[in-house]
Amino acid sequence: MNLEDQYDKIYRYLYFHLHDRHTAEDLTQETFLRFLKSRTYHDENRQLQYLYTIARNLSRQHFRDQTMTYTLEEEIDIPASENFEQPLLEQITLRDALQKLSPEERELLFLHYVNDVPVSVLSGMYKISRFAVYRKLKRILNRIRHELEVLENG
Amino acid sequence: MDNACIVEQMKKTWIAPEPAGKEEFFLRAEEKGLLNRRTTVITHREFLAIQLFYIEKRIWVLSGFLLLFIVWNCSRNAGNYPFALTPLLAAGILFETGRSGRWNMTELEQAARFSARSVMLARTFLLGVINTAGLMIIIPVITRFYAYPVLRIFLYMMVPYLTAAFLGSLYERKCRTDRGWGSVLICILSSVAFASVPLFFRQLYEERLLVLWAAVLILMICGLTVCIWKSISEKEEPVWS
Repeated sequence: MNLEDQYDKIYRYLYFHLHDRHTAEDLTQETFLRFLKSRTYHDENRQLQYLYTIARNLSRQHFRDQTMTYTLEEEIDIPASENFEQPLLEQITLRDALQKLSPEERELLFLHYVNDVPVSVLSGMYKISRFAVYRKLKRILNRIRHELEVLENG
Repeated sequence: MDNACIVEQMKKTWIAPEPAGKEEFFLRAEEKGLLNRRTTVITHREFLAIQLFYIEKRIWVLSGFLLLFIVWNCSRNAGNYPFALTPLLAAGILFETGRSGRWNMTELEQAARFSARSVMLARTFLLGVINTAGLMIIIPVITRFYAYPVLRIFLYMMVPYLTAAFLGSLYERKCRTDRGWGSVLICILSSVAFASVPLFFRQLYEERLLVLWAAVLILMICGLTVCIWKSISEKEEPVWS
């Protein structure tokens, strides 16, 4: 497991939880400190799971009883090209579709497709079988596709 | 838009600003030696070998003595009574698995490098396999002293052994404060109960009732498997908090 790679991913995960760059960085470093100091478990397959569990618990601790939400309120990157309307529209449409998902569904999508967390780690984190994770991901993507079609057709 | 396009768009949507202190953090971590801690990799075989030496020697001596005692009794035309000694083999296994509770070692084992679950699984596996292998070795020897075929001897020996192991495991799981003594007592009582079978229920050793013995054997195997599985999964693991 490449720790520097995972640092960026954990930071990104925490950033979209907390929406604050500095807090996300602080908690990322705290996550890695705790992970490096404990090293109780040496099963390679579980190290990533523990890293995310530490990050998740730290962000929950930070918010106390607040519900974790993902909001996508950051500025949308406008590509530096002449024909930017289409990609921009696609991003806005996708963002709308993502907002209709529950926070847990968004988190699952984010972890697997953006942070490349393997299904085996996700099944450990969520305490469900791998088959259940695959099924959920497929269902969520189908929902998004359906939402996008509805939005595109007006 | 297909799924691949959706995933591609999602990656573009969820872009975070670059972290500012990453390099500094890793430099400091390296200075403090946090990154250089090497963990030795251990194979399953090495782990089992460690657990093998960790199991008390007297358990192996007891198992060996019991197996020889069973063979000796069978050779003296003792009828079906020696088969009732096999539950005592299970007593050794249950006594050993209760050891960490007896010596309050659970916390120490949990703090050690290996999880308590893996330690328990390894010990149960080793003791179970070696005791069962011992029984498999003496069964053909015992067949020489009886008119029964090998399969029949196998059933008459394995059913009491597995029944005692199942009941003892069940008791150990249900009674959290058990330190192995209760389950050992159950094994002894099972041995006494099976010793009374040739006396009061001699007809159970008739050939026509072998199907019943086979059914009980399968039931005990299933029950024991579920019991061990639940014991291991219910074993407390330290949860990061």
